[in-house]
Amino acid sequence: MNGESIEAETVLELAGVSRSFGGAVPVRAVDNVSLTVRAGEIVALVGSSGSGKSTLLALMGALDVADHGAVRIAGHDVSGMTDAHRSAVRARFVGFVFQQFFLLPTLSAVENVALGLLYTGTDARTRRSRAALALERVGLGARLAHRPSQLSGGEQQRVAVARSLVGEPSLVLADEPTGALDSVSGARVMRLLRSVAGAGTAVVVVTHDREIAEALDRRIVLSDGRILSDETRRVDAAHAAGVGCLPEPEGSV
Amino acid sequence: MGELRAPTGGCVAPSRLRHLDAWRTALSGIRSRSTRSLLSSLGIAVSIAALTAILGLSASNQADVLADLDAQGANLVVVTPVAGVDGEAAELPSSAPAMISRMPAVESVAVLRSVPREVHAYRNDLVPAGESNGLTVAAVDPGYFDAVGAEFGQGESFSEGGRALPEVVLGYEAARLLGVDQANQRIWVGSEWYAVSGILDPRPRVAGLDTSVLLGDVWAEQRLWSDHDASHIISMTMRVGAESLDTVRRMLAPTVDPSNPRTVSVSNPSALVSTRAIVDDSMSVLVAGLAAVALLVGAIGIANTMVVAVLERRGEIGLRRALGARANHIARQFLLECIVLSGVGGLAGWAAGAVVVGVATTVSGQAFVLPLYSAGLFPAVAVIVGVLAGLQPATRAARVPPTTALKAG
Ligand SMILES: Nc1ncnc2c1ncn2[C@@H]1O[C@H](COP(=O)(O)OP(=O)(O)OP(=O)(O)O)[C@@H](O)[C@H]1O
Ligand SMILES: [Mg+2]
Repeated sequence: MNGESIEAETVLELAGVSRSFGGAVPVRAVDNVSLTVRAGEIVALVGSSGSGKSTLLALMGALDVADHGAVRIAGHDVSGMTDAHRSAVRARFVGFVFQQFFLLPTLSAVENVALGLLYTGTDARTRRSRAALALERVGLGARLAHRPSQLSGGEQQRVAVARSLVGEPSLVLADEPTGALDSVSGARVMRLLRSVAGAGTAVVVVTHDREIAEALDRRIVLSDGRILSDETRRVDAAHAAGVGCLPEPEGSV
Repeated sequence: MGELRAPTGGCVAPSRLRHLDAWRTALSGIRSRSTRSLLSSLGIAVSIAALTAILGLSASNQADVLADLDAQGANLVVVTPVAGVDGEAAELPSSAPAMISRMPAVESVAVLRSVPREVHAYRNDLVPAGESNGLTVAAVDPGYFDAVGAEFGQGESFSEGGRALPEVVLGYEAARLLGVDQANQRIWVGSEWYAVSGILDPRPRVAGLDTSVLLGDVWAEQRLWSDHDASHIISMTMRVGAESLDTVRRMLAPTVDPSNPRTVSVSNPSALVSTRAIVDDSMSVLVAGLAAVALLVGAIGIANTMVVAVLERRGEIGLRRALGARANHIARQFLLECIVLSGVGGLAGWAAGAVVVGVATTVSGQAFVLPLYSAGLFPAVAVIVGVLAGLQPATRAARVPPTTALKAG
């Protein structure tokens, strides 16, 4: 499905988006960024530290509000929305994955995943059964009752991915999802995210890891809050599967 | 994927958190920090327990003091007729006892009736008529003694049947003067022998009782009086609920004799009544003062727990915002935690305080008194205090920008 992504619907649209942080000397963390991401696409967002990747990701997911420009998520312009409506957009259309997992230590895996539906008003039983399905989808169907402390780092991150997927979002935003994992676990999480995109969801992955970035179809390079390059090319299945053995990248970063 | 083509302009419903889920979230937040939660609950519990104990102990104590005062007659009101200008022995209307009994707050009415002036009591039939020792002879019904709170040292009241027989109850002093120390001895009243059915303990609060010789009212009416139109009521003594003492006193004269209220005199047990008021006041001031201090301590405990919780759980706050929580939902979560912590503390504290009062009153032999309103009021006060203490940390948690909160992870 993702091969025909050009034809797919636009899930995320940014037009001239900027975000500055105050202080004596304001920092333009995101500067006039325009881009679109379509359903089924998986995008790597790369750039040096402090280049604005996390800030941009937060804007893409309506977790933060742009100073200028428009952000449209699944057709909803979130720029002028109230907190209540922006929150609803996050709850229904966006799934987040973070480097630190953010699992609640006292909840079991399935309860953690069910949190992904808490703010949609879904009833508890439905939340739980959908959480169990989501955990099966990430290969943790046998770990429903485990506490985060009883899971490996890779498993914890897959629980977090399941939590981001349980609401069947149009858009999954991952901020260095493999940053805290060893390469094998990281590769597994990346395979998972690619399959999520394969199933029709738009996925944006912030990463420091060149190899991971180069294994993805599209790469956006940020520098000082601006888009330096935005390249799309086909990565064949062999590359996609084995992250660790990629040839030299074609386009320089 | 059809849902992606949602209408532009954003007609999304606001994100929502079910009420039940909000409570569940608060409970799981508390469970995740169970030790600290327990401690802050304990802080509230200790202060509410102290409050409850103070209230219960002072109430029990006060009830004890007041019962003592009442036993002495602080709540007895005496109604007598005002003597006429001509010195004629006056009397109250015969309808008076029934009218008074119908007044609210009047617990019991004791009716004292006169006997003819020439009827006196003597040790035996040989004592000269002049030596009557200043004893008062009067007639009563069998309920009189209970109504004035008199206790029997010897024997008992005459029975319903004894009302119409030559039987007599003697006041403490009267028995001594008549040389009677046991029931069933005989004395000479008027011109007949009477059997002593009982002797009263001293009861100085009821004026004249100790020197009284009391006959059955039916006997007096039938055998001593020839004039059956008169009521012969010379006084009525009634027990009145302390709270209504003033009101009842004001209404008594018009109730007893609506056409001539001026002919009715009402006693004023004022000295004892003001003692009652003093007892009431000093206790309430003490309770109020300690209440303020104890609650302040509890509030600081809750506030401290919440401030720490908000700092510690920044990551969780950020995560919940990312999952679709509104700023409001975050504030509500922390406030509900405050409500649960302080409510549980308040209830447990009330129960502990009640146990303290129970133990203390059992040991001191007092009656257990703990105003029931405290079971609702104190936990409610605890919750209000908890919410006030948590308000600032909760709103601060809600105001943290999600992206900032997520950096804390
Ligand atoms: N809340 C904030 N207040 C002030 N400045 C901020 C804030 N968040 C980000 N910045 C600044 O904005 C710039 C971009 O930050 P951002 O976190 O987006 O970078 P990044 O690309 O994610 O970096 P890294 O790879 O290290 O995570 C930085 O200079 C940072 O200091
Ligand atoms: Mg970052």
